[in-house]
Amino acid sequence: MNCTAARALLPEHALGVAGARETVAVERHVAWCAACRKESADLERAAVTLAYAPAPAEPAPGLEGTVVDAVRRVAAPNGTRGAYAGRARRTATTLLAAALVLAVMGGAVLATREPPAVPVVVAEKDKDSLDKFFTSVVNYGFADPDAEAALGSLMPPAEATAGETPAAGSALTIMAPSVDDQVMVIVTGLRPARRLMPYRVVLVDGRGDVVRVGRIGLLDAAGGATLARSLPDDLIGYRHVEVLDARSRLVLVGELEERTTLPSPSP
Amino acid sequence: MQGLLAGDDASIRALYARFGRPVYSMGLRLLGSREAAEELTQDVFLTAWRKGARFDPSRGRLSTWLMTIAHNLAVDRLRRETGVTRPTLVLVDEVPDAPGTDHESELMERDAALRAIASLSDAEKRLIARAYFRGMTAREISETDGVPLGTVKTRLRSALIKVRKANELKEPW
Repeated sequence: MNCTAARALLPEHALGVAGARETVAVERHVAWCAACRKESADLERAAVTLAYAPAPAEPAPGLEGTVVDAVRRVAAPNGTRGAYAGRARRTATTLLAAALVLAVMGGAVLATREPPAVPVVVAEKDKDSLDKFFTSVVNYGFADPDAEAALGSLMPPAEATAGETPAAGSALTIMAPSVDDQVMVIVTGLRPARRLMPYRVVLVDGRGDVVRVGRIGLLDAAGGATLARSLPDDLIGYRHVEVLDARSRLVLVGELEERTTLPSPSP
Repeated sequence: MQGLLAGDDASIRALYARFGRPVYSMGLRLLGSREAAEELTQDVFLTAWRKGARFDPSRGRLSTWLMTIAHNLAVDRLRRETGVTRPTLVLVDEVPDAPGTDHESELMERDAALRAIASLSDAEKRLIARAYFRGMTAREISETDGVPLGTVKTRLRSALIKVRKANELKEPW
């Protein structure tokens, strides 16, 4: 997104009515562009002024206690999880294990393919992203005990003709309140046909909101690629993963599951 | 904020004392029922706890951060609820009985809001009302009013700049 496009979206973004995709695009842009970041901050401060316009209304006396109890429940290290049931805290070991499992899952898929597997070739432009991803994983573990991971396999959709699509893959999201959330997708067996590329990877939440992870425009000899991205979105709830070809046909699909314990990375 | 993250009772109550009523009031205005406003208030404080580590005081005020969370959650809910009658908006309501000293900062914020709204033309007030308080996108406003999308976006920006300038010399931000 360039500055002109970003500026056109900033008022809606500030007013909280930009769509999910626009929000992702704007936030990515303002994280990079200082001038647009300043404009965005100015408009957001203006918008929040309006929050106080409604006539003050007195909440029920019991609401304070309800709020305090709710926050105390989720903040308690061993307390009940209330509204955030299931969001277990993660440890460094767990997160690193998640990343390693994903890598092994991707490797295992490659290892079973014929002709004999070749090493995963990460597209040049993604190497930095991958390095940053693993750096983040390591850093999360020590800096943010609240980081969480969700992991899942990607398979061709049920309607795919048997034998037509030998593709497979794995996906991992890591969500931490202190830094941008991360997503990593490893695929293999994608067809390198020009008419099918680039492939697109998206995450979808329960409401149908979509976060675009990125495009795969370069495949290795086994039709594999690795995509790693740092996203400004909060990826909590984005559990459905889709890989689509250039014709928007679903190639791979999968559901991510929150992992409190991870299987051994051994094959 | 550290107290909130730790679940400290006094810190949560202090934050609620400062922001509970504005959040609830905005929820009541946007969502139209006490039940929805109460749920929103609870969700806002839970979200603040969940995202608290991301709050950077060097990049903005706590009030801006928290009220933005509140507004975004309210608009999300508003846009999810189809078929639900949206509240009829009256931007400038009657000011209620004089609040006590506990609400002094809230009263100042409301003064700033009313001053900002007063700086807008009637057309701009309607535009802002539709976007900020009813969660309508620029495209929806464009289609409803038969005005080009680019024009709606330009007018939204102009209105926000007016809102900003109305309090430029008064706000500490």
